[in-house]
Amino acid sequence: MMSKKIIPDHNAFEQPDWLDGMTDSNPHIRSQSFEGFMNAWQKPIYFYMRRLLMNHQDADDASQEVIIQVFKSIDSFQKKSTFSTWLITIAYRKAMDAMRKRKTHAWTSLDATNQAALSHLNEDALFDADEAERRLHSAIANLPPRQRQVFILRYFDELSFREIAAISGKTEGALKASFHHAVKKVRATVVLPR
Amino acid sequence: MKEMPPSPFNVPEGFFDAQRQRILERLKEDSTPSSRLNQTHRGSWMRAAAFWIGLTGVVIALQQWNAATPCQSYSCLLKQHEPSLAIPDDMLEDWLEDGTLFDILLEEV
Repeated sequence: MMSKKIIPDHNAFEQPDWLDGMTDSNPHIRSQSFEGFMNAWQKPIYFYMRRLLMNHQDADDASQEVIIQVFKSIDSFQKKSTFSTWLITIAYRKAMDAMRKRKTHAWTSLDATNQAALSHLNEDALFDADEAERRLHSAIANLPPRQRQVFILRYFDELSFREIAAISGKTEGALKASFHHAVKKVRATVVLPR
Repeated sequence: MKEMPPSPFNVPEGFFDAQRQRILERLKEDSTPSSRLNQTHRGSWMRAAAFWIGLTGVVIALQQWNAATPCQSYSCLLKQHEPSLAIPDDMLEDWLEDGTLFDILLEEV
């Protein structure tokens, strides 16, 4: 079975080679570090955002914001956690902001909102999946922001609840509850025939 | 570079190169060192912080003075002994935001 992970595996004690160069006074070294960072993280950040926000334009904007934020605040990274945890924390917060900004409370039936998400995906020329995958992603699109984040980080990227707790600042118990509710909703949409 | 896993989400041709270029340009525009910015704003932040700390101190002192005054009415007594909820507000807010509270209520019903 092929991996569905987007976020690269990381060693808990290892920081990337290019990290120190990001704050170097030499512009040539900074430029090399930029390349190193972008090669490692540009695509993972974009696809993380795309899974959460579904839409290409939104994912483009949000991933750009994350990368800019990383470079602006790299001075404040104190290496108390791994670089990837720090980075995903920034991405998590930016994604939360983006999802809250366009939050629509659909007080219609679950069926209606799922249908709306499904037809949106069907119309998206940059989305190419079979029926089951379309249903899965439309179900994810209908989850509330935090449940969506937890579901994606746990199910797709296989992060532990402990890692997600470090990223989100929530307790493991709260995250497990969110994941449980998310799984229930996704299962109801994916399994039930329309 | 690590190969990305197959994804149903596609991007337009040349998107990542174009995005990289846009980011590089934005970073060059925003190249004001953060330390210089910090120094410029540090003074005003310090003044604002001192003001709020002072104001909070005055409010707390007033509240303590009020609490020490013996009550003459039932409404005063009620105000002084407001029942506290066992569930903190931020937790309730989390639940509401997640839809978890709604789910719990539905399950209970």
